[in-house]
Amino acid sequence: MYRYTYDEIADKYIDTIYRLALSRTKSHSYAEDITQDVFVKLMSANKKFDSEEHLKAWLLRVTINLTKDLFASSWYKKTSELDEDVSYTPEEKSDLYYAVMKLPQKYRTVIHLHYYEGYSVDEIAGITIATPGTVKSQLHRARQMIKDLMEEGEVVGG
Amino acid sequence: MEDKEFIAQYKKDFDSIGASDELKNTVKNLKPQKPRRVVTPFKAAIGTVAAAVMIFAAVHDYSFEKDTSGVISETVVFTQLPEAQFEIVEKKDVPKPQKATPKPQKASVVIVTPEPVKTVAPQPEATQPEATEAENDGIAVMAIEGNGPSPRNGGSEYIPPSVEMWTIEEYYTYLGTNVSQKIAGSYTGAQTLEFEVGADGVPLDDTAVLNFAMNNGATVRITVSKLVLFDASLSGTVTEAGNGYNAYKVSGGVYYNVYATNTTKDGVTDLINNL
Repeated sequence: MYRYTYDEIADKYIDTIYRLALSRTKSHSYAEDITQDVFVKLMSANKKFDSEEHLKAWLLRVTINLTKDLFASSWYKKTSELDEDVSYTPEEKSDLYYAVMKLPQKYRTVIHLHYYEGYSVDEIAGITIATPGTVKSQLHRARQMIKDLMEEGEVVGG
Repeated sequence: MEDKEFIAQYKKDFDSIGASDELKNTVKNLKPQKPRRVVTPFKAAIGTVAAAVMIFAAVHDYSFEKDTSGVISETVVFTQLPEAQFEIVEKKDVPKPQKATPKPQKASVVIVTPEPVKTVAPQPEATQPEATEAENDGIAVMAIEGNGPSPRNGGSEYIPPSVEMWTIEEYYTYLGTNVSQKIAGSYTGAQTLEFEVGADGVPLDDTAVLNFAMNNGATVRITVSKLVLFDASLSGTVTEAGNGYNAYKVSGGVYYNVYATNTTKDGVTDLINNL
């Protein structure tokens, strides 16, 4: 049984959650709301975890579910065009970052989990509740789209 | 772009992204929410009942602080009736009646006499006013018709009644009457005698109502217009006291015993004794 304290989890995983939320929503404000909601869920669930990896996977899974809820909300559907504010970042980002942000949401998720969090295809399939084949296909298409975007010079940063 | 180069660049871009300090503080200061109250059907039912009780109490102006022993409202009507106390004693030294005929063993009759009325000091004359002891006791004592002393007419000595258990056949043999003509049906249980009494507890007249239960469970009421009291000097005497009843005496004292035939219930003749 993995023992943890709430503060430890908050310190260690708040950025991880925030980044995944930002990758999926492309909005800092939405990412903050989602991050906060994830920790509220953690607190209210009072869940026991087998390991730290189990805990991290649960946090990422909750993050994905909350963003799905957000995407399904009528509020998001009405205002999503205005809230895509990833173009405004305090620091200059590479073309790769902007190319990834131009990908569809489902591709951004697998790219982030695979290349940033280091999850394998099977692990991503477990977190996103998808088949490994689907995840593998999404990764392949995402890479191809990024390559195309960067070669065509359609990435507009800043 | 190679995978390694892609990963390095992607990580570099996202490493610089993180939650703001404000968000971190907010998350750290989150407080556990109160556990959601689970309302089970049982709790809901208890709550409903409690609410109903409170509403009922409020409507009826019931105070829980009063010492009402849980009685919310009640109407009590007290009806004071003459109280007769009976006791049943196995037959012992009772002179057996003359057995003129073979003794058929069938139904039995329980002869019950009331508890003795308080002994009244003997009055010299039968014209003395009504005895007050019996009145005070609330025990109805009928006016005496006939002979002999009694608590009501100033008897010199009051002999407490005794109880004997005779069979019907024995009883009728004792009476010297034709058993076959008299016995038809029988009764069960004890009888009560209701008198109409005045405010002073004294019966207004010598009319009473007999209540007794038949074997079939039916309750029969007979109005007895006269009751006869005998004393020891009339031992063995049977007086036909009127339509529907006989008065008799068994050995050893004064009885209020009445034997009545009931002709009011479907023509069935029932034997009533033991008042």
